[in-house]
Amino acid sequence: MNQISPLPVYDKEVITSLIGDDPTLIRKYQNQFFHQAKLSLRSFVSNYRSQDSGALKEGAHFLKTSAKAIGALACADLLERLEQACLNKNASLQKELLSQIQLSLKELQSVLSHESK
Amino acid sequence: MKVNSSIICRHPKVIMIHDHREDSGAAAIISDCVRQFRSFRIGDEAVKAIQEYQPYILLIEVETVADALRHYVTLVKEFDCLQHPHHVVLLCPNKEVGLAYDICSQGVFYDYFVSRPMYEKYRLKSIINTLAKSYDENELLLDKSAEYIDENNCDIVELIDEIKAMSSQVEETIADCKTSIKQDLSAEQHAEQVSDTVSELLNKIEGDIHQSLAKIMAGLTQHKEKNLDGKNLLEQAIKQRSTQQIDKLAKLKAKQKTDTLANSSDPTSVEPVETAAKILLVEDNHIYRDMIKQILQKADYKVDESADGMEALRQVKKSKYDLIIMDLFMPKLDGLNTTKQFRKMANKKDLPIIALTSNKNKELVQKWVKYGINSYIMKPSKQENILAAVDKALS
Repeated sequence: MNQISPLPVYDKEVITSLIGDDPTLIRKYQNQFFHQAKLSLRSFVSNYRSQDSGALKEGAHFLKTSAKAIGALACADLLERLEQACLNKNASLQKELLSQIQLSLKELQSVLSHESK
Repeated sequence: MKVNSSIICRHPKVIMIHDHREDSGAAAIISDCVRQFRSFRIGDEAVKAIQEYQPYILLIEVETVADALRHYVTLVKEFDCLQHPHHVVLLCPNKEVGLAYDICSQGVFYDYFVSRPMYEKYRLKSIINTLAKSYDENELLLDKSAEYIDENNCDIVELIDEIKAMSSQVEETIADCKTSIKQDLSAEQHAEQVSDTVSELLNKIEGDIHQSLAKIMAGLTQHKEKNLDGKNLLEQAIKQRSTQQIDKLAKLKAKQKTDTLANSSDPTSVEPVETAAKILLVEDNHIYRDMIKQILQKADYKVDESADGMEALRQVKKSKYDLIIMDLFMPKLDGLNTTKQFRKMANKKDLPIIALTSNKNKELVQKWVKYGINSYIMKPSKQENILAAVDKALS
């Protein structure tokens, strides 16, 4: 599957300009984000299955905030598109974006683990 | 067919009103267990039915919880309906389950049920069954065999029988207690007579005390008038002294600010605050909230947190804040509506509010200003931009 977001998976500058360049603090927020994303993805799937576009949109908006803050730009972009797909009640696009978000999170994990080495 | 038999009921005691474009399936579930049920689309016919049949149980299934509240108020206030004992069950969409819960927990409605999407039909039946027990159970409910209880499963059957027997025992005990209370009532009547006599005596004593107090008060008023001149002089002196103290404090603060500016070696550094301003940070995403909190605390601000608008309203009622920084899109109560509520509060009309948003739409920004938001911070912003916005709002 092709990555549909033109934005970079990760931009460290975003988080450092927000909270500074303390690596321990950055790592803490990154870990918190992955935990939050894991829980969000579960609820996304459940809301998608029950076709509750309202709840799916709310969930996407919620995760977008922290995705943007930690610099996960591609993921944030996909979440914003998911919000729009929910507004348009476009179920097939919602499904595709859910897969893309999952993929972007995996890529983010890989980028961050390379960075910490 | 059972479904038809209840739908065509001529004197329904369970009524559902709805504004369906699509059927959620709730009506079919209710008619499957209720003998006297009818469903009406909101309109004149529904109002007429409620007035005529005076239902024990009213189920409301409309687009939003707010609509349900509005319809209920209209029925009661405009159409003078529901002036008899009744219970209301709210059928709501899943996305509003929190709001529905809050409303029912405050006793506004009896209970709620998530009907969109419909995935727990037995809970709806259970609500209706429990409610039917408050009225005439046999009159309301259709006979249902316990289809899920396997008669061959001795364990379950025995346990059910045992619990039923225990319940009967408890009911008998309660009935016995009621009988003995009735018997005690005659003794209580005698006690009431004694109590009447005592009350008369107490009234007399109370009257005497009032008379004595009136005399004392008259004496005090005379005394107060004599001292009034002295009091006026004292108040003037206190006022003068307070003004002097305020002037002195203002001069001191101005001097502190000048010193701070003079000592600042880095011109790009953010100016420290003179006294710790208290900020309420309202954001549902705890990660972002924590980040902003750290930034503000490092800049010596005192920060309290809220995860949604409802919580923020409660906190603002309890404590005094110099500034509110608030996300616009939050569950329960969003930033715009929370701002509207703040502005309705006494002494909060000028409280500075900064919105946290990722929306750049200018028309929206104008709308926020109309609602009472003073400025906004884009999500995410740089640390210095956040502190500059806070500093500007506080100055």
